[in-house]
Amino acid sequence: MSVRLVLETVQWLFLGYFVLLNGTYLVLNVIALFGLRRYLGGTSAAERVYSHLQMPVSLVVPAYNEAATIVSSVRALLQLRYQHFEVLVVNDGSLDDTLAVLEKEFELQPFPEAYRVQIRTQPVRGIYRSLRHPNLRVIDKENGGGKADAVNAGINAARYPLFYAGDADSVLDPHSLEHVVRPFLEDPHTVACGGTVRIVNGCTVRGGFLERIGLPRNPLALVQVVEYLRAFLGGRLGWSSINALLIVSGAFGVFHRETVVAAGGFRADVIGEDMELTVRLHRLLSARRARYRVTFVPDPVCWTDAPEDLGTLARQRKRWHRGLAESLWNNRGLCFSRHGGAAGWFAFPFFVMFELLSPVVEVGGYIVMALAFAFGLLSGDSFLAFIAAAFALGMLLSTSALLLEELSFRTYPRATHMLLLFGVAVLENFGYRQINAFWRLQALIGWLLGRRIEWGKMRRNVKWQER
Amino acid sequence: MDLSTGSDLVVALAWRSAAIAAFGAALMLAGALIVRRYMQHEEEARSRVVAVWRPLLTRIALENAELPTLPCLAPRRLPFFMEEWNALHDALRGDASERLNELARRMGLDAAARHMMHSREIRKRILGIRTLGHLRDAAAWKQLQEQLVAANALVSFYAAAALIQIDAQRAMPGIMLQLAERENWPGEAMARLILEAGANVAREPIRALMLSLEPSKVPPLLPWLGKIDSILASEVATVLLHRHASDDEVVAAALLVVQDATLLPELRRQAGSSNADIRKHLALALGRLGGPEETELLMQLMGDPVWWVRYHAAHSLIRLQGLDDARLDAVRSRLTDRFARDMLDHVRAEESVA
Repeated sequence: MSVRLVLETVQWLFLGYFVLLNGTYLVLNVIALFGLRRYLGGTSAAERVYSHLQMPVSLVVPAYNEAATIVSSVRALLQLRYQHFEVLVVNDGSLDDTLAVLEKEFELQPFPEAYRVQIRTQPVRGIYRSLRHPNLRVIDKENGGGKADAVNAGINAARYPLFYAGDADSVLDPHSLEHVVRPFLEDPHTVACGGTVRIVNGCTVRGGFLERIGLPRNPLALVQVVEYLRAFLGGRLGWSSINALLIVSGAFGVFHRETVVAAGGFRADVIGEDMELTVRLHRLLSARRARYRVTFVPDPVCWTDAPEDLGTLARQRKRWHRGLAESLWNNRGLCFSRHGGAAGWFAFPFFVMFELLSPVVEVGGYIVMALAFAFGLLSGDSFLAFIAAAFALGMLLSTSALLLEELSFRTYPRATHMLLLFGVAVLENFGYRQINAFWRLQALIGWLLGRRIEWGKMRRNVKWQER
Repeated sequence: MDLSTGSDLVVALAWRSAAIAAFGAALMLAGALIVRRYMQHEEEARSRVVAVWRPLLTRIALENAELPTLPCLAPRRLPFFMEEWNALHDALRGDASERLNELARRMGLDAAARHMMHSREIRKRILGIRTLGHLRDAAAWKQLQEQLVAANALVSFYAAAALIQIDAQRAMPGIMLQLAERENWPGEAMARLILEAGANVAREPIRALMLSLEPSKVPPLLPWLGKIDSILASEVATVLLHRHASDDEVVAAALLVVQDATLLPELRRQAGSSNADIRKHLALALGRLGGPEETELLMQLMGDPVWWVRYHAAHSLIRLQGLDDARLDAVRSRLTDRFARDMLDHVRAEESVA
């Protein structure tokens, strides 16, 4: 009798969890749909109003051993269609010729800058200014503290009220800054804004800009196209609509400089410094009862390289999950805090229950069900019913993201693209989701046991930067 | 013990959830494909409207002739036509815009635009408002005033623009009130609009409003006013500096726009302020209004603990008339504060590269 009770409880929990998880995301998608309609409804009118108004932005680009690619990355950034911006390349103590290459290509000259240390970083060895591009500076610092420390050094040197922190290998839309700065113009209380990141694999890139949009042939990259659509168009836009966005992506984010400085900058001792900062901003600003907004623009502003092999993908997903755990744990004071708002009362508990702990429930659920079925404790019909429910709910969520994409940007030009992505939304349930849950479970256990995480080598699939 | 069936209820629910979700997914896919087809169809329709009407509208606007016989336009395609009409209007002035208005009235655009102002779609509301503004439709004044206080910043902004087009002087008090009240208005874009309408139409209402506002509403408006009328801004700032001498935010904002060099003795006293914005803006004001006699005070400000105060003080110093390189070297040798010297080197290097 007790075994039956346990099994029944597990069944209810498993089903309830999946229904609640996917139901919440569907509600977020509906919120996102209204947000999209509002956003797109005013887009052309807003472009006319804001076309002459552009808040200056400092683009902070950390570079570590990027001698082969940094010149193309910087050239692409210098060509962005925006009036007032500066590019700050932070050479993070590279062991290769990164600094020498930059010196030669951009005619760098040492600059006696009165550098101010508002956020403590590894020592800065020198600051250079380009004779060719007045809006390009290079900060040469000692290595240590990872990307977070390098970005902090860039923030210290930044002149403008907003700064962009992104990856050197991302491909930016030429108008990306216009899109992402718009929320800061519309609402002066905006402190951070993220943009939609898409997968560049399968696209043609020339001179640092996207020339033709396509879908990758690699099945792993293809699944990630659907994943990114689901995460950005559904989840993030939905959370942003209620000011509960807990992550501004490290690939593309613009922040209000003074607010970030006051919050202490990026933390160098965590893996997911982008999410950690975003959650920290919510925690600190809500505790101060400050009026603030962390927002998101749905325009596809940044295209990033997706892993095409299981090893790189596994490492990336483990890092992300570890970053999630650290961000939530370090800012646990936000959860149900008195003035935490939607971020503290909805998003934070949701992320703990349905993102952080989801691999436990998913993997646990699959194992218990499979064992119960194997030992004859569960009928084939019951087993199939639960698997079908989990798969179909996941598929529903992915398809709703595809619908949102069609209602908004229609980035992928052909109807066959849409059908292919739908096929992927079905097939990802057969193995991909399970292995992902397994990696995330490994990351969670590793974090609980205090194990160090291995970065490994990221294999690049997009070669546009190489000279 | 028969456990092999599990709980019938939970299994039935699982099947039902799966079926509903799968059906929903199929429905959404069908929806996505239908949306794609519909959008393609709309794009084609838009292209057809543009192909027929763009050359015709241009001809009507530029040629002083009788209106020709007009092609048919389905009512549901009117928004496409209105977008074209507004885009052309944005680029034209004078007689050409009058001819476009004549055409619009003949086609009933005024009534359609008034109707569109009540649409739930922001895009349509704004299109209606822009059309009424270009038409200078005084009959829509009351409706436009209602839109001026709309929660959506863009709707209210375009309503303000339309009201200015219809009667700038009459519109100004209401717009100024909005400028003071709203935090979500693009103030600079509004400044541009008022400048286009002729800043003098707004001079007196702006002065009256600025001098009657609560001190807390002044700081964001003064720099804005400086952009559309620097003389008026300086006059208002001078009055406010005396009236609210103890309000740090008002003083900081006034220092940004004040143009009257006779105020310098009074302004110099702000160097001891505990407010960094005041010291920063004072450094800027000294550079703008002062001469070599401000050197000592700027050297003092270059030792300020706040980076931006030092930065602006150094900039102001090297822009003071009569300070050549040799004199700047002499100033540098007198600086005892390392941060002040660093900042002077920094700004001189910056100037030499620029």
